[in-house]
Amino acid sequence: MTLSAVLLHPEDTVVCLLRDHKEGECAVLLSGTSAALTSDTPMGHKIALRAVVRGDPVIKYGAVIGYATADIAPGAHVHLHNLEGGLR
Amino acid sequence: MSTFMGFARTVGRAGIRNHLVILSMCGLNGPGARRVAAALPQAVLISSPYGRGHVGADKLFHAHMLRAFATHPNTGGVLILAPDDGLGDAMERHVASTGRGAAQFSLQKWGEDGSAMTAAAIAKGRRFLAQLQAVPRKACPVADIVIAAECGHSDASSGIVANPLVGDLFDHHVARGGAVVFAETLEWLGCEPGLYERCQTPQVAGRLRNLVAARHQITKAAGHDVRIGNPGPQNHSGGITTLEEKSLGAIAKGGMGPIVGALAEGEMIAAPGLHVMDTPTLSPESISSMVAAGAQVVCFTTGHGNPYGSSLAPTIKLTGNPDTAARLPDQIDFDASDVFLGLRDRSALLPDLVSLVDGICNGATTAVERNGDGDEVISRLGPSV
Repeated sequence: MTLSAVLLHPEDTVVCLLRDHKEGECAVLLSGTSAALTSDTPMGHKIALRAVVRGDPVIKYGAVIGYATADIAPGAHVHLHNLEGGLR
Repeated sequence: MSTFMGFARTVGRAGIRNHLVILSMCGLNGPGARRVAAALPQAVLISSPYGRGHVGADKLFHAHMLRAFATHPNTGGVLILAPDDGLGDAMERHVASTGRGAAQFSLQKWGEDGSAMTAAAIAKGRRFLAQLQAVPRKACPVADIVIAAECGHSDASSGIVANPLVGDLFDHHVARGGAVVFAETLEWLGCEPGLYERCQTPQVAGRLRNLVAARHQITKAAGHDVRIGNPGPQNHSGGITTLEEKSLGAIAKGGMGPIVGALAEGEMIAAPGLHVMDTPTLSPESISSMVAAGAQVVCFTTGHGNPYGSSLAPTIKLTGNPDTAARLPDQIDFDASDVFLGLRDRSALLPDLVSLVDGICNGATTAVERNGDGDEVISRLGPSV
């Protein structure tokens, strides 16, 4: 079985895609499959593993990489449109 | 593996190489030192282009780095090339005090005859090399090994595959009693609070805060804001959204363990465990500083490729990028691209990497060694007078 995404730390709320994915596809993880992707998402980008409420931290590498600027559904692309760093 | 086959030293940690170092202490000796090195291709040339007119912290640092290379665990003996007997004799005494052979050649002693001095240094170097190469390897504690990590010419695969894999190696090596170190202060941008929290004591955290603040003050004083445009458009298109995320991908090289030491540039590593070192960003400067601190082996991750390594500490090149691994097979020591291709989980690669590192500690060569891509560079901490 070829994996298509990687969870970098057990506590992460996002996973990193190892190839381009189409909307509706599920990413293949070591632990099983993700929710269906809500949009086409390119390699190297992140999708949400579980729902994140606006204002909540997003976790990658077991650490906070920023805060959700919108509610994020499982399988949604997590990037500039819904995630902002905590540094200002 | 609780032992490896290396070179025990009278003072300090064991080495994984028994190098003859040609130590050129001053820019005045540089051309002669290059002739000596050309005649002794198995020796390691470490040549400072400076050596006069350093002041203050810069002067102390330059002297410290030369001494550290001359008495590094991988250094078996030293041919010292100096402008005058004062500098050369002091270094010869320092090296000899660690049980290593040393021979000093100064322009002063040779009546400023650079040609005669070079010929004599070559003759001595040939005998020296023969002695060092005759020394057999012995079982030495693996806990003596200090591993440094560096990344360069990174891409999306670095933060996802190669850096976390080196982090796994670091956690493994610390668990078996060894020491590890990563550096490059400006690559921690936005993640410093997390590093402070990982420090084992408030004293270590306080030291790290001060080192980070001082490095940032250098950029600020130069009118440079390292946060503007960071992460840049290339990072964004590669999938990195925030500065914290970019930095976490870089410091993933350090693994997940507690930080036992916060070090200034080139400062000696005295204890086992994970250390962080404040250094500039350029790989030659940061690697040499970690090597001077005692690292005998370096793990250098790359995305697009990067031939550079340390000349004194075998430098292992790793990539998670399948194209780079295929394009540069003679420059990449460890191909982790199976993880990037989804064929294997990262955890499945750790035993292979441990076995590669152990083999190199036991004497197997790296691509950097075979290709002659090693060097050592001493940072400048201020202008000369």
